[in-house]
Amino acid sequence: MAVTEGMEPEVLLLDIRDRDLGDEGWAAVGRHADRGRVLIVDRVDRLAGRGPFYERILGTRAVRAVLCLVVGPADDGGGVALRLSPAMAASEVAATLWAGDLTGVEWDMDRGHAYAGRGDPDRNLLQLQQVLLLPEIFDTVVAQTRDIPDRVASVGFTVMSGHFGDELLADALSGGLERLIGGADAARSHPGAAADLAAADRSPGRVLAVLAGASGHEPPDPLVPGEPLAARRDAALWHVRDLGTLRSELEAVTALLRTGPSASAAGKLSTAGTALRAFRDDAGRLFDEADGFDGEDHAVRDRLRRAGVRVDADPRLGDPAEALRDLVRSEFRRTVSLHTLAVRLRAYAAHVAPGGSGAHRPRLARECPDRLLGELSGPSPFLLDPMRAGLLAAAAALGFVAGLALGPLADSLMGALLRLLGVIVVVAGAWGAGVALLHAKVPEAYGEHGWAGLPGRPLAAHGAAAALGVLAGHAVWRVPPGGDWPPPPLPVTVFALLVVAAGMGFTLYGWWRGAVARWCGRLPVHAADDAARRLTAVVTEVAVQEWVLAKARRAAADTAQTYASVLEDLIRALHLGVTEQRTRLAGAAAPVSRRGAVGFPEYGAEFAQVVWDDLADLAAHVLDPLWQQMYGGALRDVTWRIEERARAELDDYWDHLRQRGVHERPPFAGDNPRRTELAECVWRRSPQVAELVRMQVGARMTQLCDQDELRYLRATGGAVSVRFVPRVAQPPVGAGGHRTGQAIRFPGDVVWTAASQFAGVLRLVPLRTGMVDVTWAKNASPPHDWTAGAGGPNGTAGSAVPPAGPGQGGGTGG
Amino acid sequence: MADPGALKIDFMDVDGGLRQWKVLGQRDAAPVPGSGMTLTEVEAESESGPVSLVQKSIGREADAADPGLYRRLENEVRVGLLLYRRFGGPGYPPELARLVGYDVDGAEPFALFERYRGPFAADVAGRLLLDEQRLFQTSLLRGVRILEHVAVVHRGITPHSVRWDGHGAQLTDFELASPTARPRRAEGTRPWASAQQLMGVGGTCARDDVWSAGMVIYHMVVGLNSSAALERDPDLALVEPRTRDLLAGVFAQKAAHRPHPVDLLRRLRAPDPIPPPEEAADRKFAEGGHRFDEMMRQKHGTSYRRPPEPADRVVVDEDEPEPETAASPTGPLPHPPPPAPRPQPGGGAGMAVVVVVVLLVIALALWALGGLFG
Repeated sequence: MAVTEGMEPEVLLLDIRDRDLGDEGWAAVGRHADRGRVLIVDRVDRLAGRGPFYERILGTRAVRAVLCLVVGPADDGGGVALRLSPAMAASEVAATLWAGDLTGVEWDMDRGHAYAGRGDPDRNLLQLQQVLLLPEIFDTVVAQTRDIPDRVASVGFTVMSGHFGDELLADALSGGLERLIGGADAARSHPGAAADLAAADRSPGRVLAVLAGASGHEPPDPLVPGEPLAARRDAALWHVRDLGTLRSELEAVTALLRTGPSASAAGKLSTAGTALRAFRDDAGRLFDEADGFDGEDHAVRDRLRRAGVRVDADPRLGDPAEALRDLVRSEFRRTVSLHTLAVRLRAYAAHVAPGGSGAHRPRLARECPDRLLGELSGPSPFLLDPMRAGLLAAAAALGFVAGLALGPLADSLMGALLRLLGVIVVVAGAWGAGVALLHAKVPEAYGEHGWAGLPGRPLAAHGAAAALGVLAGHAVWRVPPGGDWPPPPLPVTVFALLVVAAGMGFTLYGWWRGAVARWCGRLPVHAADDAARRLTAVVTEVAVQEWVLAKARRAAADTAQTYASVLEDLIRALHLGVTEQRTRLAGAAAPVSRRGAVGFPEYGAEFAQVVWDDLADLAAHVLDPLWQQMYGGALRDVTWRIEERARAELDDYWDHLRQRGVHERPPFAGDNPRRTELAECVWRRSPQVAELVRMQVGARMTQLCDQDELRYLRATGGAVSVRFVPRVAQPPVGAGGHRTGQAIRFPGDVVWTAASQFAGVLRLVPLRTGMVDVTWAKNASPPHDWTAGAGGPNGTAGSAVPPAGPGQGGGTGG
Repeated sequence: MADPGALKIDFMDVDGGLRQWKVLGQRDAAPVPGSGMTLTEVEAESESGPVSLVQKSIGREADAADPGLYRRLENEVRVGLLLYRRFGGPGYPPELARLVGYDVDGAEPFALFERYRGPFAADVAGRLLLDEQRLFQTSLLRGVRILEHVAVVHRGITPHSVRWDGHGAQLTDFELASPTARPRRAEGTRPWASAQQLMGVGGTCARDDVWSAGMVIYHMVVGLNSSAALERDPDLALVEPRTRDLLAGVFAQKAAHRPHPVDLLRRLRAPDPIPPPEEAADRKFAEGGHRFDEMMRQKHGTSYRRPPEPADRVVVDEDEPEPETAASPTGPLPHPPPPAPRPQPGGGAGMAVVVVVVLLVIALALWALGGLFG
């Protein structure tokens, strides 16, 4: 017994030609005869003995109509063609169609001509079955036969098929699969694959970009102010920034004249170095201790909290698994190929997975090297070169001016010499004191040089230069010897001495500033500032990426990895499924419909496009349960079933394409305007369709009987026709039937079918009177418990109406 | 599992005793691709109760197709016995398949193992979550380290010789295993075997297994779905950072440049499964040896000399490094201590003031004295 499975048709097909109705058959009937309409394919020679079967079928409450297609030559014994159960002959909801010879005969009823049929019997039967399985046609046939005696008619038909043929179908399926999956190029990863996924400027993309550290936005400070690590950082930054004032402090006059204990410049450097080292080492230790933090380890969490790290992620960030899911779905809708998506997901998983804070420790040493810390702890020496010629010349020049400004000093030579000696002591002492002061202020490792250990020879040289200058200036008053030059006025002398004093100060100060500038230029102040900022950036980045976002990043990585493996499973399953179908098709001994009756090969491209759309919908449908699951184990449970589910869906889709055609929407697919366009092209604009369905009932068409059996048929009058056309061929409302200029008019009695595979005409010719014997079957076997599969053993022997079991009590009555 | 009726299984256990266990049930297990041997899962009734086993056997047809199967099965039994003698008892490492018994003399020789821990690692390649990857890597490298400790090189580590049960990996199929420092035979397949092993040059060493284990770890992360991917050299940019750090240097062309299994475990921050050697045991062993020599001298005279121990030819890989360098710590060098503070030099400011005052006084005195002279 053949029972249609999988697609859950609205008409149940029972092919009982070559099977005895054992328990198995009854159980099958019990399971499936609940769809209202039952098409039974039986044999003429077994028909009479199966009266009880038909009685049970008709008595089932759930069965609303029964159509029996009885196949085989007429039972010529006793002058009748068929022996029929009275239940079938009398029922308002039953009809019997007789196909005496499946090859058929080309019969022109109107002219009374008959020609040998050339059809393939199997194909004829299959097409007739498929046509009768359409619920609209089924109902119309049953209704039309009510006016025919005994509800028995010989069936003839002419059909146009919208089927594109298995080969074209398989090609379209393979092509669609290639487009859906993507080529080999897509399978190769590239450096930006992860970024492709995270670069989307949408909300989920933003979440993923944040997790991947590619958002470009400044993350919130992960360190709690005042806590140990933040304190270390702030101290390092403060001390390093404080080095920026070092030069100005050294150059300040007040600092030169200050006599109390002052801050050491080198000490500042050393302190900054120590602060940097402490920050770097503390961070490094924390990196090691919190290495591999998964976001949940309580010991590490406590350690991080003690260090002052905000471990909890920002709750406004959103669920990464959800974001990833939304993004993948949107990419899927954008028809990004499965391979490309899988590669991007794997790349993203590799990119977003936390690497552990320990891996970042070398970065700390790179950003703040020991060499820099060494330079801060032991800066280069402050060079104050006192033996510069210009400086000595300035001392001499200023001494000269002083000697000159003071005039002859005294009238007597002795007095002048004594006073000159006093002036030399003052001028040379003042200059030397200035030089000594600057030497005392030279910064050293742990303070200033101080007054002890001053360089004696340079000081003596400076004193000598100043003394020589004074001598030279005074000598002017003594040339020519014995000359009596008037002394300069006192205001001039005072002014000149003030100028000398100011000149001394400016000269020494300029010398000091130059030395300070040269020394500060050699200090790693800017390098320390850069190091502090980079160190802070590393610690912030690691704290955010490896600690604060650890859990979210792990979730994102695991989810991406799982989604990638699911997509790869799906790819594998679809590949295997299509390959199997092609293999099966190639190995089919007797192809049933290698080509459609009409074929429409010119619409192959549109057909392939619709198939591709359907495959994309199918993939989305298969993946749909995946999106409902959350991260972790539950997701894993679903992923194992994806392959099996994909194979089953693909098999169903294949059956759908072969049985119902591409024009009809599969259960998993959404509304697709391309499908409608294709149906329009195939059906609505085809003039052949109109010609076909406008055929007269007596016109030439295939009548499924032998030429000799035509004598059983009532050739004049009584024949009825059932014209059917797919609903998609119906002109749209308001188009007036001439919307495109090619639209066609259909007769008023056309049956519009939801399925889009067939158009044509069925011809039902009544048999002559007396050709049908309606008798109760003799020696009918007691009825089997055929409801066992549906409701339990509650049938009544001999009853023409089977009782309603528990599973049938609420069924719809016929 | 089929009911085998009153089947019994006769074999020699790992201690050399003959055993006969009743078979409670058996079923075929997924064969190892390329192995040629048959795997059967067996439920048997042992003296201590029901046990789950895996029977690895050679059928008559398989033996005809590949005469080397006997040798490989015997090699596997040999390694299984070695491992049992080193780790037998409750301390047997779960990372290695455990031999229960064998029969290599029958018409269809077989080896019996405790039930493997799970399916092939290949079945879950590309599906492991991060935590599972870490467990897989740690347990696999522990197995490699243990084999290295007993001087055995597996030489056949592939996703089909590693089992995974969701908690840990287990190394199985020791058919190609070889002692360390023996001439390499050309065995294995690309990409699982190192170039030296594929060519059969040099001497076997644990770093052959490091390559193979590293390749398995790599493909467990990136998946095994593409045959083209297996042909390409591993691209560490495709794996997550921790695995990238773990595999650094693992695929070096020269074996000496690959890390030691202990180094890899250290990168994973996993403890070494092999405890440090106990010196006391070596001392006792040496003392026993001396006592033995003394007794032999008493028996055979003072001319007795302990015969040299027979040893197989040792082939050390030409680029094998010194053993101690393999496990040397590679931690960062300690920072140089900051320089000790120097005592601050003395001030001397007071002396400077005194000098200045003295000079001023001298100058004033000279000025006044000059005035006296007119």
